[in-house]
Amino acid sequence: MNGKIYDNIVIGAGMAGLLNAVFSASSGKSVKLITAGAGSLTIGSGLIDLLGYSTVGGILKDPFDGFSTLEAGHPYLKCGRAAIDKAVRAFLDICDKRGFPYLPANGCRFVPTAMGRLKPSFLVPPSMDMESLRGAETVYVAGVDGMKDFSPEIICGAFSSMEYFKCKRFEPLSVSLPELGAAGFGSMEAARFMDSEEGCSAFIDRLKGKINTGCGMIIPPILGSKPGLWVYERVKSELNAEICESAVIPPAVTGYRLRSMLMGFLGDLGVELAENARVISAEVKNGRCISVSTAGPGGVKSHRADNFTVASGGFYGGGLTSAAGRVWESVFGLPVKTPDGWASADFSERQNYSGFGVSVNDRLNACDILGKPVYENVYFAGRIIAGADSPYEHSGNGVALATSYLAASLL
Amino acid sequence: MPPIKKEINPDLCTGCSACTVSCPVAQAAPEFPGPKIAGPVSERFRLSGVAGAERISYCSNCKNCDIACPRGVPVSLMTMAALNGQDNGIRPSLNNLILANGPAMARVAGIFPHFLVKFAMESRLSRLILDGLGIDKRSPLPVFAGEYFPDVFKKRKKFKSDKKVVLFSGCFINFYDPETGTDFVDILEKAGYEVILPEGLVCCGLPMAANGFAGKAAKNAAVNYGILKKYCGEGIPVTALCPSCALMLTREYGEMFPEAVSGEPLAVADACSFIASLMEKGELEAREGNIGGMSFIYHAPCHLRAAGDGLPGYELLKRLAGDAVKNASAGCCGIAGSYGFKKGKYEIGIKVGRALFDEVKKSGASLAVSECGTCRVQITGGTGVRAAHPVSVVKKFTVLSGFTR
Repeated sequence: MNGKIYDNIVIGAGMAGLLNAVFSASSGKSVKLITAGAGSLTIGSGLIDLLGYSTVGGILKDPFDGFSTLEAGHPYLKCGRAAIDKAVRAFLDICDKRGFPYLPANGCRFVPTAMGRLKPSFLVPPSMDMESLRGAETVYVAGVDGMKDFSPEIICGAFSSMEYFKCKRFEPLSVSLPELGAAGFGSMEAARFMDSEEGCSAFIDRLKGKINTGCGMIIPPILGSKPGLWVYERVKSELNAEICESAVIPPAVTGYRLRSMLMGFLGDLGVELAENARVISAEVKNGRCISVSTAGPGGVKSHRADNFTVASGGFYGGGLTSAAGRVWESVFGLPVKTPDGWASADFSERQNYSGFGVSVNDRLNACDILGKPVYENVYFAGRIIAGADSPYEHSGNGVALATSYLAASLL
Repeated sequence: MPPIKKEINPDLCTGCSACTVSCPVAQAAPEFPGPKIAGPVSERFRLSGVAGAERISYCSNCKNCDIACPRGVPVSLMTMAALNGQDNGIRPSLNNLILANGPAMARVAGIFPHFLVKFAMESRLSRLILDGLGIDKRSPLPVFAGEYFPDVFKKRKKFKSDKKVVLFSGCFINFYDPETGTDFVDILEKAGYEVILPEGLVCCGLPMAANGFAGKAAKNAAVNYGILKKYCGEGIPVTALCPSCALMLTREYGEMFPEAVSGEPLAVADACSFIASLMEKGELEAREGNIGGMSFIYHAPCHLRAAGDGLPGYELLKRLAGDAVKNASAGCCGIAGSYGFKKGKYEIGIKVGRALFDEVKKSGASLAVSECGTCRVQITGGTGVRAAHPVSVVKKFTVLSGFTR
């Protein structure tokens, strides 16, 4: 038995867990973060989508316009607009404070993807905002020779035929960075090379003369692996071009930057971190959680706290477990409601399982069918909560931000 | 019979690449295909009798892949099993043989007077000979101690008590750093515990498994398990000073050698975690003493992070020294047990450790603190800053009082 009683024990180190730990520790709470795995933010885009598509169809110019069409039980409706606004401000403040500013909230912001699509997002770092290319007539889509999973031709082809871009000219371009090897490397390797002075100047020098002043550029996310904008600013100013990093398949570098920033902040805030630690059980008494247990080399160890925030993710992160015909929450064994037809045979259709999760009340406690909280000091945050379908509605990381903030503010 | 028995389903891996992004070696050495390819991806080939990726011996077994994996895939175990030659015929080389057998080397050195050993180990000639055998002449090879820890312990005045604790001191403490062992025993006795150093314990086996001698490691596992299981059964706590030994004795014995260690897994408490539990039980009181303007920079060994028990040593130091201690949070030091001593790996180790070295130097700390012996050697080698185990800091800079003595 660990003698210390924390104000908040957070389970999970994805976007929701990290943000909940940061929010609660910044308000002076003692926090311990227990995590099995580095969290999917490590390999994700780091973009915060709030609500990209309306459930009745179409891209939302302002995500908040879509709130009226959300189905009852959606986590955003539990949080309410006021808490979401505060969460957004709190997130942007942290980014500013840690030297990795995101752009202010201003409706939908588009980010180009490696598949040649425009992804509607909400909170975006300056290096990924498509809007920055508005004034450019020519946009070069520049790849790196031999890099996996980024084809300038695919992007040029797709964007050239889009009505949205009818006044622009897209041109594929290729930069040679033989320092990275002939082939087989991805954007993470290139981004790490760009962290160095050698890499950054090589990229700039080899593009100079190939592009016009004042042009726009779409590139893979290679402008450094660290949380900050210095590589972006430098490349932009030395090439005299507007630059936009695209969203790519994992590992996407841009989420890694945000995670590094948040992890650094957690360390400075004195949050205790137990990595590679899976919560195997919880001790509950009189409607409250007393402790959770992990298995370490010294045997099973229990960790006590006044409050617990479960940000353990969905099926992928291990927050939900399933067997034939049955789904449950992994730490407390809470039952998860599963409507008939978990999955649709058509891949592009809405998939019910992506909305499976724990039913919560407006204090983010798990609740029974009558709405009564099961454990009043256990809060849920992020993907583990039922009712949001992030691939379908594009609310990825937005639900994590809103619920992790609300959970922290209820402590 | 393959030396490492494994029943791992590589299809648990979804290919997300979190391991490869977190791998310090993949960052420093483009030759290494990275843990995803070396582990689960190649495993699918190996299971079908087809050779997997080449150059997997670049894996340092630091286990950052296991720490990063969101699915609990035992990535490093798959690579270790493959390195032990069961699938692709990789054969260990001479430097593997030397580095896998520290205790044998220590026994040979123990025959000679210490001044001679020290002279011989530090001389340019012997470093050149070792270099020829595959141990890089620039690596910060530690020197054997004048008197090994088990002998130091035997000469100590016996302290008898009903409260008993077993210490698995480990090769580094035994042969290179007996002072740290003594510091820990002093603290335990202060709290009223009789320390037992069981006869017959051998190297935990990790250096053997990591250098391609898993068969020998399995034998050591059976020996240690047989001895320690008796104490665990009697409810006598077992502690270890080295996080890698603790990880091996507990989780990895079961994963690698389930036949050698049938029965309950061992429980081996980290030394600092044990000290903290003594303080919580009121058996030991430790207060901030006069640290004389010292400041400490803490480095978390990868194998401690992989153990899943947080950073008990760092938390203990924070309790006792407050703001005078800072966590470097700069990732792997690059030595990874025996990896950073090898020719062809030394440069990679130094490259991996650079972020930590920079952080240690920048901190201006007078002492680096880390639980792992070879991490300490690497930090001092890379920065010139002295390094100590947290128990030594607790011993030297805090006022300890026991309640039963």
